[in-house]
Amino acid sequence: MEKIVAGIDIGNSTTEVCIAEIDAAGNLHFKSSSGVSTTGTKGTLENIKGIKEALNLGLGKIGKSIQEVSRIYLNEAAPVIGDTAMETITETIITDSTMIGHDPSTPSGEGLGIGETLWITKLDTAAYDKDYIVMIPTEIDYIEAAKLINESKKHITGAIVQNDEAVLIQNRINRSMPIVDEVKFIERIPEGMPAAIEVAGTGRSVQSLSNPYSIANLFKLTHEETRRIIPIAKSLIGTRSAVVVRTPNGEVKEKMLPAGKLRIESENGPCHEVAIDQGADKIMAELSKTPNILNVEGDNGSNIGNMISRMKQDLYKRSLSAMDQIRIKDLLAVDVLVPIDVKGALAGEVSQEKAVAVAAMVKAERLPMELLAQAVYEALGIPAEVAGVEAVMASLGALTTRGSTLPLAILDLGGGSTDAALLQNDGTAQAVHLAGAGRFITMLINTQLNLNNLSLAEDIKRYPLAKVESLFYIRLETGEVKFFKEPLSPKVFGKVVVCKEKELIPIETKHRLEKIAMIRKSAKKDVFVQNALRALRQVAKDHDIRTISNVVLVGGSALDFEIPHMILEELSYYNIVVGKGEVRGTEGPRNAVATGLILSKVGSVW
Amino acid sequence: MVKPEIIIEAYDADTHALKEILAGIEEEGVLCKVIYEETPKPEDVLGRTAAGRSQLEVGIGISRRKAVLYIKKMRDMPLLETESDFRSLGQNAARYVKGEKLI
Repeated sequence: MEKIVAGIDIGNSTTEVCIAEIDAAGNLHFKSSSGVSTTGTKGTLENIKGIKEALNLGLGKIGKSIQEVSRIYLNEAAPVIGDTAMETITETIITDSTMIGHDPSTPSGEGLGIGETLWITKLDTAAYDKDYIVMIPTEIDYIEAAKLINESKKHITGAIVQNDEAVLIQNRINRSMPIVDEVKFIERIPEGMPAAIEVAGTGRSVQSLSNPYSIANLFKLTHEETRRIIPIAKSLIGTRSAVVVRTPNGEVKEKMLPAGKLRIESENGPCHEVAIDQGADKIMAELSKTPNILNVEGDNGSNIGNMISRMKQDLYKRSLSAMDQIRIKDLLAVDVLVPIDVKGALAGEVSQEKAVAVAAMVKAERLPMELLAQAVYEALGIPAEVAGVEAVMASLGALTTRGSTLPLAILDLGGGSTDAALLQNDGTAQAVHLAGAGRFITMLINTQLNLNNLSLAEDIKRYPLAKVESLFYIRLETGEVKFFKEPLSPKVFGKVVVCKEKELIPIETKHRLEKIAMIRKSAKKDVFVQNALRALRQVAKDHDIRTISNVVLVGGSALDFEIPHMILEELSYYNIVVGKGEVRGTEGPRNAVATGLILSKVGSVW
Repeated sequence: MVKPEIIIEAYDADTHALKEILAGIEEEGVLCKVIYEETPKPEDVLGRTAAGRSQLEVGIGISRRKAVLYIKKMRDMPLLETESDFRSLGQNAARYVKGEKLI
């Protein structure tokens, strides 16, 4: 006679189930496991739907039904909820049209041209002793534009074209000059103003207009004026062609937004204050100086203050705690550069703005797990109990990884938080929960690539990239080439794609593959490598990571194709055995808590 | 020596359409050559033959105001076809050659 029992782990993102049979002698046989998305916030009654779904899925695999389950064990979920936000600290505004820096795919000519802006139709009446940069609107086609330039005896040093016709014009004129095309809002460029136009040589980016002193020299600027054009130079870095127009009143401003301060309150000891614009490193350094963080607050009215109160408001709605009990217990800050559309831009220019992205972890009172257990019993008719603390259960489950031993540290790389626990020989465990995990990485990717598409960002995080080099093959980021029997869609041709299982998802940005891969990798490093060190330091004896001998990685993000390697590389300096868990030898890094729940109850089922 | 060119086979092609196709290819900086076909043929046949003759394996067939873009490896159907946006067809033929995303 055997009894079927189920261990259920409700996490921020997934609900995992482990199903086992236990006979009267206490022999345990694991039968099946499953995982589904968590329904609702963890610890709330909305979870029941997901629990039922996961149970049915797991039981279905072994041909059993819910009625045959004799007991359900739930985890005592840590009452932590993570959230993320980002605030830019600089902003570039063009008050008048002064700059066009963009990357038309085919500018033409090479070099620098300086002159006064003039509509091409007014060449007749222009002066002979001046240099001109002609502006060619969409109504004038390349044949007519070339004819007008050729027939004119005036000094023309460059051209700005609205259509995509730079090469066509260049091929038909009797002199060589830099031509920039695809300037969408050409009519916004003022006429009669000094302007400079630069097209870089093949394989290069603009050199003069991205150098503040060159711009100063071209337009004879004073020191003060030179300071003000730094944002222009900065935003032209890396483009193949650029136009800068100097208007008397026009200005490009880099506005420093009033960045607030963070106040870190500790349980015993003084409050630390740190200004956000000092950057993520400084914030993290201050945080690590504070051992027991009681709460983190931001200045009222500042960006960070608003961000934190918004976060708290959000968490208040999701958790069941009263507003004043919501305390930010941990924070992970990361410096980011965010491409933001320049206000007043003429050709869709973007400027890289500095920003700080923050993940916060809020600790509420105990989650109402007992209530949930009661509700599970009522809904499914199976006795359910809360069986143990999540961190201990995860350690127990992780211990089924062959090659691991006590004392064992686990790093649970989840979606909402990074948790660590250290399980000692005597069964005692110490656990920490830190802000920042899988979802924070998704957000970092989304904002730094300006995608505005979280599900694409999620795919970029999880799958390797490739460039579609031909309709019949793609080149993966590793350099490997993969061939296809059937031609690919012209829609993905020439684009950077995410190789998701059987699908190729195009990433519709101008970013090169290397850039996307770099942002993905640095986001993962900033979050999980940093958190692994922070977490292990907190649970280790005397906060010395070297005292830990083996670490097992568990949780959804441990399935990632590069995060475990990054952590392994980093921890190898500390002489620690670290690797992705192999729970029960079959589950990989998944199902550790659900497995631990059953292991902890083997003796008390009968 | 065979030059790396996109081949365009044209039968009674609309002058404006052909000019636009050529402009599209030129803007992208790729070479091309037009072969004027005397006997009436549908654009698909012209396109396939052109792709077969092109050293770049990219051909365009145009008959009156119908243009198709063929690549040699895909004989069954055109990669693109148009009856209005001839400039883009030319640009895309060139972008295909360069391995750049189509527009």
